[in-house]
Amino acid sequence: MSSKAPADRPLSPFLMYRFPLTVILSITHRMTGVALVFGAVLLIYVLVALALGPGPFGIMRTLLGSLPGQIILVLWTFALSFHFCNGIRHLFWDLGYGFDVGVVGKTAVIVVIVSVLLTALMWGMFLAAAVS
Amino acid sequence: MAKQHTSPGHFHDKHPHGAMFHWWMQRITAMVLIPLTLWFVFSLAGIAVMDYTHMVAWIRQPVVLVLLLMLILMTFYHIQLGMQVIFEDYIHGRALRKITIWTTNIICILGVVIGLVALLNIVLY
Repeated sequence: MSSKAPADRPLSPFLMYRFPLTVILSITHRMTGVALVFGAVLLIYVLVALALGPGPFGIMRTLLGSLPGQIILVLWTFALSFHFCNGIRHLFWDLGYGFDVGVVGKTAVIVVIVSVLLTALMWGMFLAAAVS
Repeated sequence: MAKQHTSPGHFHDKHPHGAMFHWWMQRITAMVLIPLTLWFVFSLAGIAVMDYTHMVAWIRQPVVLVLLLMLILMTFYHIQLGMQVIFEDYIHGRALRKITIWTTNIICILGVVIGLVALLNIVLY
């Protein structure tokens, strides 16, 4: 036994384990959820700025139009798209669908692709509206 | 995780509605938020480029006002429910858990109230 190569012995899970996509999506759902709390606060800020008048509205515009503002908005649209798509996946699980091992992995890939596409679609629409 | 949810002193032990109510409301708010979010996000492209007067006029439409109120209410309710689950899962100290959950509750109530006041201001003045 001891003369055998180490490869025959089982590796510690710590050494061989790689997080599957499904696990990454699970924690990302919570992280995007927390991030979207700030998105909701941002929405309230926009409404307050609008209620306060043209001056504060202009400041809000400038802030959101700046580079950090635009980065935050891109992150917000992605977090929203992801949480939206993966949330629908969760609702299907609650109904008892999509729990099989193969299906869970496939829907995970679909969620990633669709949330990226949705983000791109939103920004395509924003840019088209801004240009016209 | 299962141990936590049955541990004595858990939030739901004293909650008037219990864990089942929480679970259902999280799903119901999620389902209501699907059409509301789609409406909001796809309206955004048009709204984002509006000037001050146009945006005020947009919000003053009754349908828009009602949908925005629903969006704010459902979003902050959903946030309260979701954040509570996160704190219950990751924070093990009872005192800290209570503080974080109640801080979220207060932030959510403030969010709804401030949003409501802002919308009424926009519509009435």
